[in-house]
Amino acid sequence: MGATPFKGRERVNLSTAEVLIVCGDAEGLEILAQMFAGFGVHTPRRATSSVEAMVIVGERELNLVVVDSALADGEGYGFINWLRRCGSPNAWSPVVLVTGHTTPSQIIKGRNAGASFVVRKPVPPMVMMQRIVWLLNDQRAFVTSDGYCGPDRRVRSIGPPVGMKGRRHDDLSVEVGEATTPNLDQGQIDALFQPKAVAK
Amino acid sequence: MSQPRVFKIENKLAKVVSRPGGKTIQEALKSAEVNIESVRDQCMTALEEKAVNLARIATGDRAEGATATLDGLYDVSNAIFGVAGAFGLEALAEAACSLCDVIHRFRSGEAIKWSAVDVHVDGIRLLAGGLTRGTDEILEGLRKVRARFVPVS
Repeated sequence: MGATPFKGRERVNLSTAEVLIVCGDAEGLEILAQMFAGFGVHTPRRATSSVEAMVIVGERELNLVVVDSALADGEGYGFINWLRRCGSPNAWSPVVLVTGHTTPSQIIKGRNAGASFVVRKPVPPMVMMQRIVWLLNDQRAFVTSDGYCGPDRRVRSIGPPVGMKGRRHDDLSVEVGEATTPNLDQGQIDALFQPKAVAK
Repeated sequence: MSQPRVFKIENKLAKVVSRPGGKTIQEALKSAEVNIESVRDQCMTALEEKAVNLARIATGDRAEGATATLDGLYDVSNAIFGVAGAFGLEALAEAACSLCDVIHRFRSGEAIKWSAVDVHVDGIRLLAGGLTRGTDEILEGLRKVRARFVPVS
């Protein structure tokens, strides 16, 4: 194992996490299950088809769902689409879509199906762990509409596209209005850059 | 048409992962690598079987369109790509990915050239069987075939 971007003492406790892994290829499923077992997941739930996965979704409260794009009975995108609209709290679980051979259209398809993250194979443990850590800090809202159901696809809050009116009630106008409070004077600005002692 | 709803949700993953205990990330990564390595032998055997299956599927229906044959080849080749990549078998992974690229073009309307499929299937069978000499030549040949169908990005 080479250098990692993680600090030596950073910890994860996945021992009680319910993780569902869905992959149509037996060996691909085994590799992912071994990876998550190594991460500390006590019993990764396995399914090779969307039908098997749907049963598990109905039985357990899931903390994470990992879905391969190729399932024994179809494509992972369809399962994610179903999951996001299934009506149980599992609909809001974070979903990592793992793709093998990947075209740009498949990435978009996965995103539009409601995946929280799309990861291209091969997926070394380091990459999967980075995505898990990213998902731990994921604050995105959930969107349900006729055309889409899943985490907000706008990962960054940069407002509506230029020249378009925002569709959300909390979208701000791109027009910057007059200041409503006095400007900071130079002293106040300088003070923001002064080093300050902080309590440990 | 119903009104879209945007709402905050509880981060179900963060809820459990932040509990005391568990492993350091370094330990988790190490354990995952050891676990994956423990299934290497069974995966190598499976790769050979998948390559044989690939060759069997390639002998199937080649009539106009040949949807089932192309779909079967794509699925198996995609699975080979995933497993080979997980164990660092870069030559085999590249050959399998190249076949997926070519089939993707054929499934998208490009006129099917079965010779391009066959040369990939042969190459994959050799690489999955543990061939160590001549891999560069095989890959170079497959890259040239792929370049005829897939535009350089």
